[in-house]
Amino acid sequence: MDIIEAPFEVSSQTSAQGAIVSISGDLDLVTITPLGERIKEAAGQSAGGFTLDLQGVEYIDSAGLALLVKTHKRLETGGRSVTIVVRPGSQPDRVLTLGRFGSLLNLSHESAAGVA
Amino acid sequence: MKPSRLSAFPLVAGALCTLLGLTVLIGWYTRNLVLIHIVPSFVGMAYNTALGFLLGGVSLAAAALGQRRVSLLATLFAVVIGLPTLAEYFTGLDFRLDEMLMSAYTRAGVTQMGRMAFDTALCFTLLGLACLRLNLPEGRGGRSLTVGMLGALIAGLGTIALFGYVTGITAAYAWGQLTRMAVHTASGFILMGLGSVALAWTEEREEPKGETKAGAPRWLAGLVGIAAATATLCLWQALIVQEQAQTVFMARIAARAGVETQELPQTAGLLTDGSLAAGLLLAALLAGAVWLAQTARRQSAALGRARDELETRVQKRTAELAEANRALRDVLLSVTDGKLRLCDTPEQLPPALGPQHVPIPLSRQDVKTLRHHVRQVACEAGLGKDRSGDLETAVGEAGMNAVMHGLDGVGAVYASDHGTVQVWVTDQGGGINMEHLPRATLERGYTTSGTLGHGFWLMLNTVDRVWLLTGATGTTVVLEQDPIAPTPAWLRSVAA
Repeated sequence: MDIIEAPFEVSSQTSAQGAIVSISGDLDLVTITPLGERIKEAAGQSAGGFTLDLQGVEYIDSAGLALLVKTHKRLETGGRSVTIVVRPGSQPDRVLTLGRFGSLLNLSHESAAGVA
Repeated sequence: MKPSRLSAFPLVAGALCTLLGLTVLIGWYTRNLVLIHIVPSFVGMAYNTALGFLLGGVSLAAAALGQRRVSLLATLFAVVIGLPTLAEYFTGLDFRLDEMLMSAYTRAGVTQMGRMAFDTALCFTLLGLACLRLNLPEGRGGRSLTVGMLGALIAGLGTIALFGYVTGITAAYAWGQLTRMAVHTASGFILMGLGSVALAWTEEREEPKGETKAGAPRWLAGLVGIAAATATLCLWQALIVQEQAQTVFMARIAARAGVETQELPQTAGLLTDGSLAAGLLLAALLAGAVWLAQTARRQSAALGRARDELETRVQKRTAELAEANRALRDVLLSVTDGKLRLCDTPEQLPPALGPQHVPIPLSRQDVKTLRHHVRQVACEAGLGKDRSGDLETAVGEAGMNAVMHGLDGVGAVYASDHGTVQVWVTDQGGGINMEHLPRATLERGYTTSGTLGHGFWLMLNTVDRVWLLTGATGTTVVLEQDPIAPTPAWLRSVAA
């Protein structure tokens, strides 16, 4: 089997109403540092809801989970709601479900709506 | 010398001295001059000396047999006869002790009728002191030290006197113009002195608990030094006498030749004084060398004991840890439904399944390479998407642990013919502290490095079996995933 590796990419849309950060590739020990900076940047440039779109993420490890939890706590403390969108049946969906992160994080299988 | 032989020697020496004294006493009573003089030209053994040997021998033998009271009584005579005789020599008084029990009828070599030699009186005094100390409580004075050194002095004086008989140096057994020590008296004191040393040595070797110490006593250096110094002093005294005789002889010749004594060369004193200084220096050096050797040996022995104790403690601690690990292993196996197997040795790890794929050295970037390789092998082995993804999740955590906490991590992948995929992740780090191990493996969120602490929790919740071998030289984690989730152990035991 040939493994098609999706490159790690981050894109963000920010407005006064909120921000959507879309990620593709693997969310692991190597990629959490640049992703963390992009999240901080997007959060700083926006207000309101904050969405992390992980539908393009193929793999997440415990370092990636730690980043999600920290982001959630930081923004929630600042009064912002955080939504994490995962693709059903993907490895991130399986790991988040296995770890019952749904009770802590606002998980969604719905595609994120654009930010006007 | 073996301990049994060493402890028997004082008894034998005491018995022989008793026999010597008894024999000479018989000689005195039967007027047998051979028994008193051995050789007619030699000085005879005084009656009091013979009596001293009889009682001194009994004292030594009794002390060797542990009969302290008998030993003490027999010793009293040695002190009673030795000390006043010494006083007679020093003061010139006559306490009339010499012929108190037997009227002397032989004068050969005896300057004072019936009186024992000066050095004989000195030896009896020393012997008396040794036996007195031997029969007093241990105290702080070091009983064996005192007895050993006094014994060495006695044996040294006897040796010098006997040496004089062997070589013909009269001055060695005749101090100045004083009465000379008899040849059998000298032999008797050698025996008596060595017997006292052996007795002290035996006592030093016996621990209070009845155990026997190996090696020489602590006072060996003092013993050697005193013995050497005694010999030096005796020879020095003999040299002085010899010189005096030569001076007298030369003065006579000078008188015959009509030469003034003052005109003769005065070089004699230099040799004797030089011999004394060199001898005493040598004795001090010898004692110092023995002391240094003994100190080094004691320290070496102490180090050896410390090493043995340390080894014993390490063995005991290792056994305790092994026992604790066994209990921990059982607990970990139970609470993880038979998934987590803690290993003490590499032999407890599972056999490799099939041929090994190319091992992958692990770095932050190469954990991903290992994951992708595992995904490919799992696909080829026939694992479904979820089970393959779960194995990849576990491998990612094991690989990340090896990179974050270990050193020189390596990942290797195997697959069996039945489709089971096995992944080995090893590192050369310091291992997981056993104190943290139960929480690190079982408790979700437990971390000592500020991470989320989900690594082991994820491994245990995504694969079928996990082996863990960790120690000071590194950690090995083996992960196994079957094509189909195995039936839990508890369910296998339920009858259909």
